[in-house]
Amino acid sequence: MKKFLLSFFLLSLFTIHYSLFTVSAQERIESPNYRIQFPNLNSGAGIPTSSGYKLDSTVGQTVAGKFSSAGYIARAGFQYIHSIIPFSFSISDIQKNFGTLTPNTPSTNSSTIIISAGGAGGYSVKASENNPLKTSDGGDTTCSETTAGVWTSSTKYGFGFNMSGNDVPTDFTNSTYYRQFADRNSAEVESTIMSSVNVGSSRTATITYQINISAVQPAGTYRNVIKFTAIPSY
Amino acid sequence: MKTTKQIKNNTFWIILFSFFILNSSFLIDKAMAQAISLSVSPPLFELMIQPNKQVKQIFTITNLGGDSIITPSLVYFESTDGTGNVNLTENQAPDWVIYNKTPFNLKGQEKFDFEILFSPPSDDPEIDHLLTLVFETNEPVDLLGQNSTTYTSKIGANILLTISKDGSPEKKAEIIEFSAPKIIDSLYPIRYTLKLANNGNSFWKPNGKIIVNKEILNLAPQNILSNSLRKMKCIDNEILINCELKTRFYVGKIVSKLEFTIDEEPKVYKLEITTYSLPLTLVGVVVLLILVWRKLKR
Repeated sequence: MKKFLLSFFLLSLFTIHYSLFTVSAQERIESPNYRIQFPNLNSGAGIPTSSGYKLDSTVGQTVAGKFSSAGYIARAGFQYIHSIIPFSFSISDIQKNFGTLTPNTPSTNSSTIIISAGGAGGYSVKASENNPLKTSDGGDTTCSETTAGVWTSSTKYGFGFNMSGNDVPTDFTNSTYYRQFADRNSAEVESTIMSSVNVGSSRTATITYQINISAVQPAGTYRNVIKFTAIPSY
Repeated sequence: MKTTKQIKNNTFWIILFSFFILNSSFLIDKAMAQAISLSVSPPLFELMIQPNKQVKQIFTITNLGGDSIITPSLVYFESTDGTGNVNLTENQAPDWVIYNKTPFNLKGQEKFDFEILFSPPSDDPEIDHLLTLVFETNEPVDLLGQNSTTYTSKIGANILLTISKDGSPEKKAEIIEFSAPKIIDSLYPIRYTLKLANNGNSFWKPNGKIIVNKEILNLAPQNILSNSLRKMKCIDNEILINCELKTRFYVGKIVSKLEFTIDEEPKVYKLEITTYSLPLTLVGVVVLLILVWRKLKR
């Protein structure tokens, strides 16, 4: 009976631990405790100004189009959007594992990307890889970095990605369409995977990777690093 | 026949074994659940400054993901597609834009106020500097040692910086396109295409509207960079919208007037276009009904 009580206690303890301390990225991004620091502006003469500006505040201007004595006009944030939501980028993981790869059996895995551009007029997210997860017969998928192509054959080898959700490029017609990543090592230009010209909050997309190797794939552990670049519009 | 004690013992070990299996999988999940989540504010900073003056601006970066080492950089950007999106270049900001380039540790749920000092020298030319402040996460440690891909991310905020001695840089606008269909069905709304170009030395925002009878579409005051054009949107209560009339049923000649100024400058740019709205669908329905009626009558 003591052993049962002990095991019950231990299980309860760890259950409480995980429920309290495991937080997903999505929960964090939608936290009601979201706070931002309003921009502080001051002149080089060391004159401090109030820290309580709105995000779309304008400082240093007295007459339209003319300098004040301070010698500058500064505007923080978009003048037509009065939101205080900062520009944010979130991806659900830091690493995706493809496990042990079996020739001619595609392996897939996915992550979730969330963008909030509440205080920005629009945004773009771009992606690139430091180098391809190379295969013995050439490298990436047969599609390009900018145009997705159908990849359903188990005898086509490489590493590619599909996008679905908000603000994704239209060439990802469905879940069988894949692109390869732009390869920074080959000076390829990173390509846009999400973009919008509108203000948006919690714009969510799923990036799904697919990797497929041939039977003559040299043994070894294959890795690469994917870089995501999220920039608001101007 | 097992005794009650044996059954209890076996159950205990099964529970304990299951617990450790579950626990180890939870640990893996927890490692994988680490996310990258960064935010930056303000997303845009516009500054017009005289040479020999100084302005300091703070950008706040917040980390809502796992602990990260953040590397800051300040690079020039290029306008890409006429919609306000940018491409980052490798060109670093001028050395009179002063900031701490040292990578810093930013723990989860923490924020950091990042200072940039703008201090253009007296001989700096009167041009625009289009910059993006970039915060980049470090490459994470490989936790698995298996076939995998790891992530790094960059998040940025744009800085539009104008150097001007008198606060009145040369600003010129050109209406590249202001168009609507020549003839439309009166049941459908008119949608306008508006492209404005900036032929001056400094970026500006249009301040204006499209007027059709009593309906007004307000132009979104979006920045147009020097020597570039932008496809303009309209704005309704802070929401960017397509420039499209809400009123749908017009019949006859419709004159649409575009009027705008550059920022608060006095010169008003104007252009008018004409559209003829015809009740094509209604006429089609009436003709169809007449034909059907005639056929039934025979």
